[in-house]
Amino acid sequence: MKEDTSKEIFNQYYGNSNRFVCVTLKDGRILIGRFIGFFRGDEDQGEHYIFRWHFLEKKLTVFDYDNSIDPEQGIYINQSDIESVTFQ
Amino acid sequence: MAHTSGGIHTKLSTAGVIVTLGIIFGDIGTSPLYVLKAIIGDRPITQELVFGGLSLVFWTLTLQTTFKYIWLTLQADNHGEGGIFSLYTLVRRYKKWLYFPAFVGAGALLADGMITPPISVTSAIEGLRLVVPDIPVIPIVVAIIFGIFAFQRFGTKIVGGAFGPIMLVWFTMLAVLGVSQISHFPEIVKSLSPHYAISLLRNYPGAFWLLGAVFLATTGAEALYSDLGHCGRKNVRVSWAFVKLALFLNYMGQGAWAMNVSSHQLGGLNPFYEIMPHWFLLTGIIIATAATIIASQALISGSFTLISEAVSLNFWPRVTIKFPTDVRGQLYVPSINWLMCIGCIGVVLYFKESSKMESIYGFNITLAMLMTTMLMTYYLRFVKKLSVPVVTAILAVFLTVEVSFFIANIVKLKEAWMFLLIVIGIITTMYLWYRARKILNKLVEFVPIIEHLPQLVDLSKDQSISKYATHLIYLTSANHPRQIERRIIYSIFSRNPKRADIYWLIHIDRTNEPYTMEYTVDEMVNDKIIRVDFRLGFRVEPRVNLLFRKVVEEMVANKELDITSRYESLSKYNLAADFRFVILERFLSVENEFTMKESIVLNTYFFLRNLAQSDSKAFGLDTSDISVEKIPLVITPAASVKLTRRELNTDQNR
Repeated sequence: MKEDTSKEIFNQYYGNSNRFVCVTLKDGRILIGRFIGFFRGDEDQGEHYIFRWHFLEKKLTVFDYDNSIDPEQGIYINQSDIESVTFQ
Repeated sequence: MAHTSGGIHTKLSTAGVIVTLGIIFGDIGTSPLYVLKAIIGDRPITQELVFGGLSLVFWTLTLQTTFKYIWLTLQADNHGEGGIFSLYTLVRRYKKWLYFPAFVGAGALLADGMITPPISVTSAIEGLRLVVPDIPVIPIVVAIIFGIFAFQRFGTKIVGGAFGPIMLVWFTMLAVLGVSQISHFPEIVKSLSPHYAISLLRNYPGAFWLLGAVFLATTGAEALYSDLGHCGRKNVRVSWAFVKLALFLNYMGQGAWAMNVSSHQLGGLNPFYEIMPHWFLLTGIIIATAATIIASQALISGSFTLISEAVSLNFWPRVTIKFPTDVRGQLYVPSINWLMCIGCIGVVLYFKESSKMESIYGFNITLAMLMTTMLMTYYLRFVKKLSVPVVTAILAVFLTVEVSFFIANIVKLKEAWMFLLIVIGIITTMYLWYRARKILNKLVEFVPIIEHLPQLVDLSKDQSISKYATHLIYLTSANHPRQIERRIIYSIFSRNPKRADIYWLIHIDRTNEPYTMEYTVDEMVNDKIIRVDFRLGFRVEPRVNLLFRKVVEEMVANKELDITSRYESLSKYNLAADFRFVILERFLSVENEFTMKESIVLNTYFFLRNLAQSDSKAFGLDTSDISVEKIPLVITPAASVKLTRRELNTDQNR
């Protein structure tokens, strides 16, 4: 298994109340927003601790309320597609 | 009497040994009814065949039963429990594919449950022809088999006590009958020498295929391991010494009779009955019938246990499991019971005679034994820490023996193809269920609960929302105590906000031990949000209503919880508060995009799940206040939709 940074991302960057984070994907795209959910990988099968993230882009939080509970909001990002994560 | 709890005999004692005879040795113990008859068949009776056949039986019993199962495999007990799934739970951490031999072994054992009762009971009842030549065997066998299955719903607590003494009588009868014949032909004792077995295999034409018949002598060995938990290792080992002696005295007695028979062919006679004095025939047949019923009972009980374990390990759709008595481990699975009943009666009606059933018997068991050997290899290497050369040597011996038996039994597939289909069907069901659960687990989105605690507390206090329940309970699959499924959060806040005084989260963790029953309580927010984690063994039924009630009672007793109704009008009468469970049921929505393989697996899973028990019944919540909410399997985030708003054309409204 390649180095699993998902736990580190979870511990450091996850959370609604945190600041916005800047996610750089391996295809060069940059997303700004917040992680609002995650999908656990099957570690028995050699997968990452978290293999997919639910991410709510800042541009989607257009209304003045927290819509992070709504599962139809946001996008999914595979852990394997993430190049780096930093605070905005 | 040496008891643990629930009537289980595990310490060495006379009573324990007798009970073991009734539970463990029914299947292997009734083999003399058909083994020598199957070995000789239509062949001319010669010393080479009889001595060689007996020698093969003796050394097969020694290698397969005594050495592999009694000595080696019984060491692989999982907190006293045996069986292929217990063994699997001991070794599953070492290789991820080990579920496969467990599936194959379990499938083979379940299919075998449809052959053993017909062949055993038919063999016994066919003996009646010696007393009443025109007796209709098939209706009697069908009636007995139907009776056995119809009786399952009541359990065997009352009659079970008689099983051991009856089998003691049976084995004593085998030994006495055997000795009476050996005295007429004492040379038969020489058949214990392996020389005769080797000679037969080397020189007798087509001797290899005789192994298919020889193997029938050891068919109960796998069941012996499955029922370990009911008897205990020491009782099994001590009683085996008696059983093996009785079995072999009888086999040798049959051999001695065959050597003295003047016709040089069996001509349809069964040596088992021929060694009985005529005056004893009816008594002997009655004892034989009782023994075969006990053998069938053991196999049926074993199948129920197997299915129950498969359900707990998420290998099988949830089915109704009942507990007919308070004896630990005694189960009744109606669906499996009646499927097996239909299968057994079908076998009787199709094959009609035990000699024809012999042609299909054995294949499934060789398969199960091979799978046990595979799992045992990992047990010996990684749990017992035996060196690679030692494990390889043991593996080589058993693979040689079992692969030989397997090949010799493959010819039976010509007749037993439908059982192969049953085995494949069971394995496929287990695999699809297992794979689907893996896929589904990956579709569960989690969120840290800590982020929603303030919202939950505020919702609980919000008088503007009518109260949904005083105690609101969700079942969560989140292993981590600080995580929760998004769908639960969504259900509480967004699907008709559910105000409650106390929110409960219940999590069930399955342990590798069979009978663990523990729980922990974590009050995340005092008197507001409580998580209960149950640790249950794979043989424990997750009856959440009972378990949860026990937890609540203990918390009330410890003054950690007040369950007096919080409604003013009811609290003054000291009435208990209301508890409400919310069950979230997933369904396949049209929006899902899966690969072809995933689609097949999931569609089959949901099809099977519709046939299986609902979550509320499976968790024993059907008598509780429950709300079932259906949620799509995958909620795809909405794509950005290009929708253009047009100005209303006022002219059109006129």
